[in-house]
Amino acid sequence: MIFNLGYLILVTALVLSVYGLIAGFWGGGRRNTRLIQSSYNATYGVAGLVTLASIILWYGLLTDQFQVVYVWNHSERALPTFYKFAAMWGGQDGSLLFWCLILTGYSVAVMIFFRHKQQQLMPYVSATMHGTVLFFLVLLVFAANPFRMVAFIPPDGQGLNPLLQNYWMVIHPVMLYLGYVGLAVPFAFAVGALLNGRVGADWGRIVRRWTLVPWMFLAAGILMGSQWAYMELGWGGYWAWDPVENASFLPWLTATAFLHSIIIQEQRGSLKAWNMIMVWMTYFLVILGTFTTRSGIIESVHSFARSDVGIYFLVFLVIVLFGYLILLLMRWSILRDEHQVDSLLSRESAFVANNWLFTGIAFATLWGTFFPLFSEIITRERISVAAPFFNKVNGPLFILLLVLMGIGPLMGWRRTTPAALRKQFTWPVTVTLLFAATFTFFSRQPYAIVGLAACVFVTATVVQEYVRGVIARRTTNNESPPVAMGNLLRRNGRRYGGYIVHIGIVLIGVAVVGNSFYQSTTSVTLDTGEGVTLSGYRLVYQGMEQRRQANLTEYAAILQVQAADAGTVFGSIAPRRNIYDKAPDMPTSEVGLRMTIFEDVYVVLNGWDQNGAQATFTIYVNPLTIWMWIGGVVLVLGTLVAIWPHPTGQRATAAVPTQAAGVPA
Amino acid sequence: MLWIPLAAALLISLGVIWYVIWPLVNGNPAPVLIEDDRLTELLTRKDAALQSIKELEFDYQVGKVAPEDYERFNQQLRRQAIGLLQQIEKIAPEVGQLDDAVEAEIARYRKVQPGLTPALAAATIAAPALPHNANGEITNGSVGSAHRFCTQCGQPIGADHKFCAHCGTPVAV
Repeated sequence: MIFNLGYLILVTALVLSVYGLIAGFWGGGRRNTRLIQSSYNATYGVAGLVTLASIILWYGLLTDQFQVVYVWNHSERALPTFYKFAAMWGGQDGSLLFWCLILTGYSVAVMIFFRHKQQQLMPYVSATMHGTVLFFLVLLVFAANPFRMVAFIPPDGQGLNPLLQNYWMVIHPVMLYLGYVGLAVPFAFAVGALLNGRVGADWGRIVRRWTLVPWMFLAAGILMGSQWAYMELGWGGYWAWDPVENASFLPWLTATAFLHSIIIQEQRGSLKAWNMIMVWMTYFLVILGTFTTRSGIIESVHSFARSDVGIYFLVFLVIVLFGYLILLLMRWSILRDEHQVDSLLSRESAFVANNWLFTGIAFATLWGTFFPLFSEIITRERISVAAPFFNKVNGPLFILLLVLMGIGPLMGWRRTTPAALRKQFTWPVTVTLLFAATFTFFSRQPYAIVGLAACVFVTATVVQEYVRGVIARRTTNNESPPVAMGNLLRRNGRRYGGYIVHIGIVLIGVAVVGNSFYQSTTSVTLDTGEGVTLSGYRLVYQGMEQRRQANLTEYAAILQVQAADAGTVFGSIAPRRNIYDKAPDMPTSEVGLRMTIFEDVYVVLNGWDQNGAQATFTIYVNPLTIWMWIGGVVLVLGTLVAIWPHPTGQRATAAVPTQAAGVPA
Repeated sequence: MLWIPLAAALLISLGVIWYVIWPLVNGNPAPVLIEDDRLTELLTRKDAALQSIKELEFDYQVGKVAPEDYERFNQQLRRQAIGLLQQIEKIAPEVGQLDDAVEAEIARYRKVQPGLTPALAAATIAAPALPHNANGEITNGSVGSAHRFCTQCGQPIGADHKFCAHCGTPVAV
């Protein structure tokens, strides 16, 4: 009964968002403040209605209302409450409603924050946000109604997909949504600026903050997905260039390029056209990514949610593509550069190169992801494009990007003289060459050497930047080193926080190199008491254990981990197989993992027989993989430093000194 | 029993719809749209120029900029900031002066001058003389909206001009 209410208020929300869209564009164009205010009220109204609908669905999930088809399909009585809550985004309809909820949340945040500022821009921003909300409401009302019911009340539900009953799989979609959805905000600002006919001096500053936050969430979400893949899927890796992995990665690439390029627009008034295109591409890729995950158009381990939403997405994508293109062409004249790039050896050039590299990687990834689809359409034969293609193409590009990450910050604005170059690059290059020379004694893998050398180079440049920054502050302000360091982070947070983010990326790069080039593996069947040796470890199989949980049975194989030479016992690890009551043919694998800062011992339980007297394992030793997760934390911390408001705070609308000095004629 | 959710949905919908159309039908005078006026744009550009000066000084201190380049760019940016302050001066005479103001602004950004304690710095930033709205934002009338400004002297440039009418710098195309 209440669920009929849920559907009806979604219908009202849809009507209001149509109204808000029209009122925003029309009111903004005519400068009609009543219409504009009405459009803003529509934002709040739609947000309230969508929140109410979400609460109703959560109520259904948490109180086992199995007459609701969605609850029936994604929950069960025995499901822990935590997963009942998370079942909201466990399937198509609920996750679309969740998307909508977060989107309206962002809309409200934007409207409240800017309610007295940027008054020429905000009507268009409001209207564009309404447009996005409208699309998702259309999906919910016409193609993916989460409140569909059946006439009887089933005694129990089908349970949540076992792969999703894992802490990381709960938090990963939330982070991804916060990222994906948030990237609609910069797009709305871009549309607003173009419709307004001017890109103001502070546009870059506004948009950058509202891009950094979703970017951070998206990065965290991608890394959490990788962590889940590493710990659940049991193939020893964390990234397979799976189409849906790529779908989340693509907007992150263009958003990262945009974040860097917008700095140039703020400082020098250049690259406006680049930025408008990149913010458009980011939004387009967000919608495309959402589409790829849900339409089943590309076969993937993620395409668990197929339904008839595909055609709606296609239409919306076409509208976004061509609508914005027309707008861009109409307003091309306002995107002229205010300054040219003075010299090839300048920070501006480095940023342009940065744009090209990111675009190149995004294009290669897009190409590889959709090639099988197009090959099937054109030649009727599905040519698969898998990890080797992506690694071969993107690997070198990423190494180039790493090197650029070190070079760019050391360049001066406008131009860098040979003397300055010498001063900036001598130490980092020396350290890098020393490292590379030393490392060749340990390994002869060329890509690994180059990759790690690039990482060392970037680290050296960041260390040099911090040291020189602290020295500069000490010279000017007489600050002690800790105070100087703190002030660097507070007063120059964008730069020095950005360096911390770069270090995070470097750590991830180190983990990638370790895992890709130095992994060792073996597959073995062991009797109880029998052991196997791999990469300096000896693992001895002790036996099987069985344990009941609320809705599943855990089967764990206990292995003792010892040092291969000395026999020192490090501990034990227990790879598991979980057999779920409601899905006995979909057992999940829980990897047995022992992480240290040097390497992971990673064991997958493949099978067992004779009541556990014998078990089959695949064992990996993965060097340096923990640094990927540490790098992720560093990345988030760096972003927080970069976002933190500047202590002087006062900007264009601040008080200005009115001293007694007379005004010269 | 179906009428209960229908009635509830209708009630809620009507309430929200009323909230949405209230600005259209209420008897209050329509609020004035405050244009993103030229003054705010100039102040933002002035802020950006001062920020660039600060960054340039810092880059010079850490050795990324050669001394001759530092002198040249510093002069350019200061001229730009002065030009912008002149523009601001014209629109709102109470706001800002020239060289002294530039120095004070830079000091405010750096908060470094020996003897200039934060308290003293705050005291030199007097109360604004411009009309403000409740949020403390300057609300001046629009003074027309030229879209382009010379990046050397800060004066506005006509839409189809190829050179700045004030200082002669060619306009970037």
